[in-house]
Amino acid sequence: MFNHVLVPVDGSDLSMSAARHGIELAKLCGAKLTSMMVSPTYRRHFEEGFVAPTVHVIRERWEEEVTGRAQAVLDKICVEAGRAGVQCNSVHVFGDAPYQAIIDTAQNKACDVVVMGSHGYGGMKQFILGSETARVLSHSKIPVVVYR
Amino acid sequence: MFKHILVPLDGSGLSLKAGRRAIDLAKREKSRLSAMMACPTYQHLADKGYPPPVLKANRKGWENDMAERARGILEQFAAEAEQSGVTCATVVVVDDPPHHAIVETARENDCDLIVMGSHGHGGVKQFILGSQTSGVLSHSKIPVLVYR
Repeated sequence: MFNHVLVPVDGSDLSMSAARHGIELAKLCGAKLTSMMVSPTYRRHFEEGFVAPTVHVIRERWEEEVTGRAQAVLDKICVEAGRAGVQCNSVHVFGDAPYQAIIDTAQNKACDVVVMGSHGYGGMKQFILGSETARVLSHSKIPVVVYR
Repeated sequence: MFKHILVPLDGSGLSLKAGRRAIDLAKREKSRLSAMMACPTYQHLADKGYPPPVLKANRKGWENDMAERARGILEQFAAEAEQSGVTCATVVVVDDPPHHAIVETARENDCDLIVMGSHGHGGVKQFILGSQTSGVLSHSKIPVLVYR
């Protein structure tokens, strides 16, 4: 029914539990899995005041750290997928519009379903649909399974 | 993975497409289906100015007609499901707003997945998430698979 499941995560518990459901679905369908994470760019981080200007972190070093952390999360998913006998790839991108990166990746990798949580770190717990999930739902051409 | 899938229909092409995918999924998962149609109440439509004034005299009749039409669509869908060897119950609810009726029906019937289109009759074709789908996504405690 589905051949290639995309699971975008941000490391939050809900996104990880959605990813686990994504693995289950992939297993059921005999599909492969791509896990992905989008990190904000250095510039955006800087503008929002997350990186203290006095800290002499060079951009490459910062990106390396972020990539390392993202990869650790993505690896965790791939290990779980492997245990379930599901073939898994991971993608990490820098971008300030996560939904766009998710939709582009879905298209580039020819995924046919997206499995994600109703909100990430940023969302209010109840009644509210996270901004990125809402945007993915609005712009995606392929079906989206939303977990909460 | 899913034992009881709820398929809310409104008779639009997209809702039927989502419904057919739900049949595929149910067949694969050996789960059962409930197809439902949430009809708006007469009062709701009257408030929005839909029914011509001449109909106001016949509220009950109008709601019966509506439910009758809904049953027709649901029975046709259930027959399609049975043909694929999937057990399919049908539910007609006359209540406002539809997204509330959908979430309640899912809860009452212990469904564990809702499969629906990104918009119904009412939606702008692209880029926009229908109001009922968006309402279901905001209030549902179970995962929602959104087709577009």
